[in-house]
Amino acid sequence: MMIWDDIFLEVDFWINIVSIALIVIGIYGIVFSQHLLRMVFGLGLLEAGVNILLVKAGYQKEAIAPIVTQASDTMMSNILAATAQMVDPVPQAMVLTAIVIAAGVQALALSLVIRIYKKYGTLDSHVLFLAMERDRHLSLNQKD
Amino acid sequence: MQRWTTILFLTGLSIVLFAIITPLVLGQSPMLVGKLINASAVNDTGAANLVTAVVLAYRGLDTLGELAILFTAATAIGIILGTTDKTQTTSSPTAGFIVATAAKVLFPLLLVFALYIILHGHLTPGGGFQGGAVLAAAFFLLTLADSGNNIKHKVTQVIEALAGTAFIVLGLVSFALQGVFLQPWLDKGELGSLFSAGSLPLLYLALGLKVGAELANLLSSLANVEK
Amino acid sequence: MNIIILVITVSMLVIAAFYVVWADSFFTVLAASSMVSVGLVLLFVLLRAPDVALTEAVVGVALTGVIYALTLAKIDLWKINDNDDNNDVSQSKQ
Repeated sequence: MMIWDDIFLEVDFWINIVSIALIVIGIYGIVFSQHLLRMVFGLGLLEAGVNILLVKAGYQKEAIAPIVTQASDTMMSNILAATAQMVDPVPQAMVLTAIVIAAGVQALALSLVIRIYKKYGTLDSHVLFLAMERDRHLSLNQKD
Repeated sequence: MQRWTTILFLTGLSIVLFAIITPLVLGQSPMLVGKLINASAVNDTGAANLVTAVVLAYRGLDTLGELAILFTAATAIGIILGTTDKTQTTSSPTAGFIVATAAKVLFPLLLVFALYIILHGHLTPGGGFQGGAVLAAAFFLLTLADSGNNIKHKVTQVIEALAGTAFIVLGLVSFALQGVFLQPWLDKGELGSLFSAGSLPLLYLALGLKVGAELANLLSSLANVEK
Repeated sequence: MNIIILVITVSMLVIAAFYVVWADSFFTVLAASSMVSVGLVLLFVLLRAPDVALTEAVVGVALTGVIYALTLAKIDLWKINDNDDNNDVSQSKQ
């Protein structure tokens, strides 16, 4: 009973659960769905799960956010004592850029989705596959 | 049958991920560079926000590459969807009177908020990326309220080019003065004041303008594509 | 106290992620994906990452939502009910 409580009260456990859940659901959305738009949504979920894992890699217990506040300024020794308790800022900086890049990549994917819809009039991947195969055969026949 | 293979695949994937992730024990960071940066960032850069110090000083080249990726994405969207400066839009309906008035009231407030986030990036959470996104949202709000005033692609492209050039020029000046590309080079000033941390606020201003122009460009070309 | 907020946030995130992949209407999917971003903001604040939380709040909740909404409008999915054409938002003005 005691061990069970320990596991369930652990921050680590819940962060692992949510990141794995997001990654698995995102991969499910990318691989197993038929609608192209839902694949892009799955990509967003996958990126979110990976971002949580990256931020978790820099987290420390009883630590503070990596910002020197007014309460601990002016004395260099005070600043060093404060920064020693801070979380790792490097993964946070990487996730900061990764989120903006994720938005750009999703916008690019969505623009491709819009173009596909304008050309074929559907977003079902099975129907699209057949239509693209037909177009390929037509273009091959024209060359001959 | 396919349902069971799906469930089997997802379960196996979760178990593999769990086995990979659980050895990373929380609180025992495998990276040692974080502690060194924490100990020396305030001395090196003078920025109160250590994430800003990492983004612009220690890993400034990464940020430059990230800008290149964002630029590539925005350009690709422009190529795919086509950028058309529509002067008169009669087809798309305008929002109601309340929304149009609220947009006009909110626009200057959003601009002030965006510039506040950008210029205080070295002191508080925030910076060029967040402020740039707010900037793009502010200009796009006007387009949403009244489809007549579009974001001009030519203007945003000029702003984007100037901001990107400013970012690189700031890095090249540092190269000329100190021999290292993209190193902070102005006076560090007093920790915690607005004019401190050397060239980091200037870099963040350039970055914020570039991100804002790119995202506004992107939103405008997504909104203007005809069905 | 932190652990209760964490558990609530985690369950909200997982439920919203389920809705993103399995909901029928794309309105629901759009709302649920913004919900995932809100949960991420709370989680980043709990993990002592205010910069990342602000970025996620601005980009993930607002900007990505607007981009998805514009896309839905362009591919004729911006409607409440598929059976009723009069519910199209772009036509309801007239």
